[in-house]
Amino acid sequence: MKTEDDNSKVGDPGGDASWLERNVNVVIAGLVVACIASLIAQLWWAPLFAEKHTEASHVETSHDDGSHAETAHDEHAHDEASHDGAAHLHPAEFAIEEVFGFEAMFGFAAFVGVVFLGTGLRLIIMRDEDYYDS
Amino acid sequence: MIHNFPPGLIMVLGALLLPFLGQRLSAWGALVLSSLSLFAFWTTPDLHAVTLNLFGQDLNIVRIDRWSWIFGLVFHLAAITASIYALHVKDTKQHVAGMIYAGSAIAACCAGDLITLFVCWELTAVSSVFLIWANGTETAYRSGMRYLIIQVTSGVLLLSGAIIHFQQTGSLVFENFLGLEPGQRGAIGDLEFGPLLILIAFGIKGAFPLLHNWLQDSYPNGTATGTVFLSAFTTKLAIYSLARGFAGLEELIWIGCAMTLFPIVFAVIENDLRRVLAYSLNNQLGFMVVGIGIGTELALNGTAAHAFCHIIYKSLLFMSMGAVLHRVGTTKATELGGLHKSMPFTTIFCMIGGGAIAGFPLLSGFVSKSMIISAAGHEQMFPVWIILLIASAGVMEHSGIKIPFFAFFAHDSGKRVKEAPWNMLTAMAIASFCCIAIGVYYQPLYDMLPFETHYEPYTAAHVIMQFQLLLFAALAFVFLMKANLYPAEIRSTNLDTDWVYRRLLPRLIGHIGKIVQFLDSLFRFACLAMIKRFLNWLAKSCGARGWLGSTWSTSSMAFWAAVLLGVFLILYYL
Repeated sequence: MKTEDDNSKVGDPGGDASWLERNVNVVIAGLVVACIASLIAQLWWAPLFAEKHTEASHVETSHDDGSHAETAHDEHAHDEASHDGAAHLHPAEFAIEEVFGFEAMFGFAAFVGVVFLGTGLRLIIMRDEDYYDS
Repeated sequence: MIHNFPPGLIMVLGALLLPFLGQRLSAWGALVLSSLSLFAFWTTPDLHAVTLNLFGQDLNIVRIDRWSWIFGLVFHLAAITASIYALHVKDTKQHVAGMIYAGSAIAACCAGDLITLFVCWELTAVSSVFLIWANGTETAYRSGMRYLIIQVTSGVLLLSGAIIHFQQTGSLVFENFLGLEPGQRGAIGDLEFGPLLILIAFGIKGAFPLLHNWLQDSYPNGTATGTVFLSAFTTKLAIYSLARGFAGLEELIWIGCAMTLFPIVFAVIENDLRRVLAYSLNNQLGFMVVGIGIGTELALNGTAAHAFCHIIYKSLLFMSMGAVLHRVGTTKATELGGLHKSMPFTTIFCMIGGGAIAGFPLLSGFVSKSMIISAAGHEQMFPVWIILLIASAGVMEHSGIKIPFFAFFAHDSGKRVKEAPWNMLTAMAIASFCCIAIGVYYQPLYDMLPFETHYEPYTAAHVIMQFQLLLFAALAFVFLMKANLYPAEIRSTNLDTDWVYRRLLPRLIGHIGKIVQFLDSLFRFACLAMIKRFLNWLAKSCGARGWLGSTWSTSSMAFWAAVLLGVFLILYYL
């Protein structure tokens, strides 16, 4: 199996490696930087969410204010403001969304999970290319 | 005047004139037809309805409201871009089929009654199969046959359901079969038998789980340009019909969830990139079906918006793979790679399509998909919300990364081809422009949605979270590649439900045939043996030497006559 990296080492059949092929690591580094930036952005923006929510006034959800911290489906206790906040300012509907880096971990895990499931599925359903022709 | 005819009729009737234009001009004729049709559609007054009395039955052949408007419009846009994309094709029958197909799909989404819907429904099936057969191979022919049988079955179910519904209610009007308003929900148990059949008909065309495999079977077998047409209409017509007839049907939420999940796993291991796109298409339909099941105004708006954006970016992706097929001759990942050097524009357009379907902010998928996910959140449906997030990461896997990566980057296949023809590039550029334009300036799209909305997709939190999800999913790809854990592309066939009717049923029928043949031969053998024995016995007993056939002596005759008389005498005295 070949990866992006293999290309830069082996060189390509045409001998005309493009900028991208010669700088795979730059691309990967860029991706890592972007990932970190998205995490920092969450920290940076978090206080601003709270401010916006206190400014917003209308009550969106039908949940009882007193019981909102009890289940995972409800908003955080400290976020009473977000509870009253307009939904269009803050899309968080579940407490778990406000855990730091939740979407990041989730995206990573879901991706890996899907790929592993696919690999496993191959054991069951993979046949020769001309399976239906024979 | 023109507005008294079903929209799309210009394309359907005009298509019949295309053969007279000759091979070269017919492609341009198709483009003119779809543009004319768009013009006619654009000038149709709002809330327009035309009723036709046929056999004593009022048929609402034209019904333009907000639902039909948004679908009709995007169907026109898809038809025009697909026509531009196919300008180089000299095969007139493909243009004729494409125009009839697009026109009947447009007419179907503007049909106000079930009979008109049925007629257009079947017309889309019959016309579109020629786009598969046009490929000319034996595989395409067989695949097209399966496609046709399944699509026509869907139509027959629709007609049966409509007739039963008419007998029960006396109405053929196509509206919500549960009588639900947006925000209300009903269960499948509330459906009568007629609407249930109609639901199955829609489900077949909408590629519900287990009814889905015609999609992955046939689309990769279409021609490079034909599949662009195919990807736009059939399934979205089903989505439109579901939204119109079954919005708020709770079971659709779970059907939709299943639809978003299973295709992403199949897409990981599929080698044919156009088949990967077919699985991806199936997964995207799942999002829309979830939206229909949730049935709130926000969810239904999300479904309509997502269908609109989806048609454009999915066409774009199929166009980019069509360009690869056109130049390289295959879309199998094992044969591709490194094409970004020779097809740089196609690469960029493909990546824009991939970004749009994955839902990167500033591209169209973001402003539509987030509506459906938010709708699930608003309804406090935690499992549904989680499933849609997993599905979003899955979309990133198969369409955002796998398609562009294995076609244009990955290991260099050494193939050096020409860039796609100008008309293909133009069509892809238009679609890419739409993906970006809708992502940046989404208000015109939101204004077109079936219900008024104040939804705001670009909140800081939402954008950041989406970036986290997608970027870390991409990071996971890099990690898996580096760790050699990403499954290598292998030339293979992956079994799906089509195995049931391509292998299991033929085999079962073969076995049953053999058993019947065996029993039949056993029975024949037994009968023949019995007849033979009877004949033998006859020959033996009645032949010259048989005891019945031989001459008997006079004394034995006199003896038996005496016995007979004796018996008679005894009986007489009794």
